[in-house]
Amino acid sequence: MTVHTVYEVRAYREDDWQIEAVLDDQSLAVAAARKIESRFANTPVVVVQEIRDVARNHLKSRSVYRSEPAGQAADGDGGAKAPPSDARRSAKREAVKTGARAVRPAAEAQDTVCSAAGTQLPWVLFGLLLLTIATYVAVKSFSA
Amino acid sequence: MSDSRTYLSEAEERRFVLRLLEYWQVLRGARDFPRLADINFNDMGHDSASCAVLTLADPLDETGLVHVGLRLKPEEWETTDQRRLSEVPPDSLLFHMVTHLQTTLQKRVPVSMGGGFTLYGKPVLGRSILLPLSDDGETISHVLGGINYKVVREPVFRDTPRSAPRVAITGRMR
Repeated sequence: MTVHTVYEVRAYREDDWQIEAVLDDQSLAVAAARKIESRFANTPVVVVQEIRDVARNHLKSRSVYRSEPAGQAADGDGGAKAPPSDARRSAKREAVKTGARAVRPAAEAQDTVCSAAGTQLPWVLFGLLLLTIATYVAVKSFSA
Repeated sequence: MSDSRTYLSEAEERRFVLRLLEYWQVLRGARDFPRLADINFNDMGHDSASCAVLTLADPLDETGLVHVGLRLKPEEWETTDQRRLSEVPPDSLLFHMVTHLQTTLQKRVPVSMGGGFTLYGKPVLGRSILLPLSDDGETISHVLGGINYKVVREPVFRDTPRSAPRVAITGRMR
């Protein structure tokens, strides 16, 4: 079983979550995120852990660090919530790019289990087979 | 553009890869990538000996080495002039530094990986970082890399598979 774990440091720049660096060590990734925070005070930063199971084509991602942007706590109009929802879209785009079904927000601390499309396929084929058999039986009985 | 203040000292940041990452981000500014011309090895002090610059080529094996720090020069090489990636000996530091070159080019961001490997028969624990550079701001033309290591008693292999994550597969297929 091959499982790869990486940590993506993402910063919210130009109305999008952009990957700033990829590291395989959580403490280093968080340290890198804090450096970005210290340089750009109002830039939200998250560290997303991605565990990829190559054999199963599963991708699990969750955030392990999330900065508190200045003004978010004081800002009660909900505007500060825009970056996390963008992170959700960004994570979805990323999942589509990688062929996995990752859709949960990267910036939300929730475990996500993603798996490749295809487990429904056997059921669809089975249904088609049943339909074919039923049609054949119906045609046979009608012609008889 | 750069001056020595853009590169952190060991007192400011003890971790080599974070010093390099910080340097790359300062040089980059608002751009996606810094240019090769922005890199000043004199700013980097002792760290420049642990760094190398690759000039990308297609195929990747033809990638050239324009700067190879003293600590990275493979023992087999008398000189580092006019060297290509395909010539890098597999047991050298340089080889271990470039192992995640494909990931860096694919992700288009700095990538740092660490782990155990053998260096001329000795087990070591190392960490490398590859930082993409672009002369036109779009195409990655060069890669700045760095690696450091320490010799360990017991081998710790990078490729040792980690245990599977203990997660319940609860997601329903949509």
